[in-house]
Amino acid sequence: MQGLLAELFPHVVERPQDFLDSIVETLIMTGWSGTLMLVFGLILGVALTATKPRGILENRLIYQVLDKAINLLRSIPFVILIALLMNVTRLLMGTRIGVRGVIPPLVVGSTPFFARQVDSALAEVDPGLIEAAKSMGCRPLGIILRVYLREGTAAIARGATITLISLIGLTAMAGYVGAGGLGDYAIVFGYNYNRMDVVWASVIVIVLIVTVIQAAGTLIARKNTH
Amino acid sequence: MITLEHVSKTFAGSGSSVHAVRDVSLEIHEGEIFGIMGFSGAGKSTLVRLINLLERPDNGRVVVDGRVLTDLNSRELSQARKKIGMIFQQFNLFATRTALQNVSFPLRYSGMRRDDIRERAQELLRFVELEDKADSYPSQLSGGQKQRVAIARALASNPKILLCDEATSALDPQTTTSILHLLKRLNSELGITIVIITHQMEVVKQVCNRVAVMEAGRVVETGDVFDIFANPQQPVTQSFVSAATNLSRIHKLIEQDAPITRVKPGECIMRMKYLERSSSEALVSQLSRRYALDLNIIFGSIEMIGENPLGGLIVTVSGAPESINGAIQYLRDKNVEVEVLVDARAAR
Ligand SMILES: Nc1ncnc2c1ncn2[C@@H]1O[C@H](COP(=O)(O)OP(=O)(O)OP(=O)(O)O)[C@@H](O)[C@H]1O
Ligand SMILES: [Mg+2]
Repeated sequence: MQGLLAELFPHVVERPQDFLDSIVETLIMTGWSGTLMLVFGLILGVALTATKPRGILENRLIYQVLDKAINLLRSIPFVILIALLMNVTRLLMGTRIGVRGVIPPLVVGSTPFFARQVDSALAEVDPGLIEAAKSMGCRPLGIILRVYLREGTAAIARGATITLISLIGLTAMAGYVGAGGLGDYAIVFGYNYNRMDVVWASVIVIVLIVTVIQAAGTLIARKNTH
Repeated sequence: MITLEHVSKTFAGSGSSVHAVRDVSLEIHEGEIFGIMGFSGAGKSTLVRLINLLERPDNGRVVVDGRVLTDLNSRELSQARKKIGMIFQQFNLFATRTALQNVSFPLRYSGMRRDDIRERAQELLRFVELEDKADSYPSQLSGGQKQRVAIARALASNPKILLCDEATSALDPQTTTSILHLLKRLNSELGITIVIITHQMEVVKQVCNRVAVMEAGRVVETGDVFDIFANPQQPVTQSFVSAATNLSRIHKLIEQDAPITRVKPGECIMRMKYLERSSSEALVSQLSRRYALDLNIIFGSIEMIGENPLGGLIVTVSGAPESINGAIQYLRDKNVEVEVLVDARAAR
């Protein structure tokens, strides 16, 4: 086994610590920014749905602001976002480089996308159910928690899967601020020295991570579909 | 129990606005089953949604069980809605919850203990005869079963009123009948006041005590179901009622000159319509004996409006002209409406 690995991925096996560090960096970046993205995206998505015209907490102003802000943020390329957020990042994280430095742009870059996913997931919830809940005396918070989120869980899980996977794509650019990760490792140690085994090893690990996320998303979606 | 005072509702559409409900005043009494009928778009759903304020009226007052709902704040309104159950054409059950969980929904977070909630939900499922489906998801239930679960859910918080928006329109006739029976049971056993919206004449005939007829946002006619059917005043009501009985088919037959509608000189075709409740006298044989007439029944139709038969006969009559006139007078005295449809008496 050891021999086979050394033969297939000579440069990886030569310095295993670099490879392992990159994996951990990718996982930490994805884990932190993914969690924050899920939380903020869920809140924003719910807020969009609720404040929409004829929504349960209809509010033109809030809706318009959220809607426009989300569109604006979604249209900024990630690399430019990193630069734009430099000062905010330093303020929030104390640094603008490394894994810490890349988390704010990752969150800002992925949250609007997830908020849209949540919004469209909730739009699929039958308005008749909202009506029924209201007729039973349910208040807006109850409707959000007990009807929208519950009935929309499967669709939200599918949206979260897509967003998390594209978030992993974004972490590949973390190298710009010295945050490392598998994308950086593949380019800097692999591609630049024409060590294709390094590139392949990175790809395999990323595919594995994506597969696990996809499987988890599908499982949650299936468990919540009856 | 429910009083609507001059309520109106206008929807601002793109460009033009829709007057869904126009200045409707209505009184629905405690313990009755009240029907609201009208063609599609007449404003029935909007009207019923004004009762629990799912739709807020532009003007007018809504009073339910002594409380002016239009004056309540949103918290008080939510509380008040718990005493007004509602069921829908599309059932609106929560797909991710079992039948039991659906029925428990209104009870959760209401301060009731979990065990008590479970017990109450089971008892409600028993009432709608679905205790064996407690753990089924809505997707595993038939339409009729779904509506039963929805009824159980609507009953969970002990409402005094049940609003039904086309509750049987998605069901086949047999299932409709069983749901209507269940509604009648709620009414008689639990004393729940029921408001039924429908465009199905059958529903009104089978269960309602009184009915309001809507057209273009207005209530154009209100009254006792039997009276409305026996004596519809407004054109909409008449078209509803005649669509429901086959007596009106005679006009088509006469137009098409069908053989049974051809009369010999001296004969006439008349329609006799019972307007009185429980009129089951042997009218035809009495007429032929008393006035020495030959009566040939072309067709008849008797329908049950609640417990009372309503309907009539279409007959070809031949005999002496004065006897025919006498017979017509006799019938009118007996409060039978007589209409001569084809008249060849003078042609003799
Ligand atoms: N939310 C809404 N926004 C705009 N227009 C509406 C809305 N709800 C109802 N309307 C309009 O109001 C009118 C009455 O609708 P309503 O649903 O009350 O009719 P209905 O008698 O229940 O008809 P149906 O038998 O088809 O259910 C229709 O013209 C409809 O298009
Ligand atoms: Mg309707």
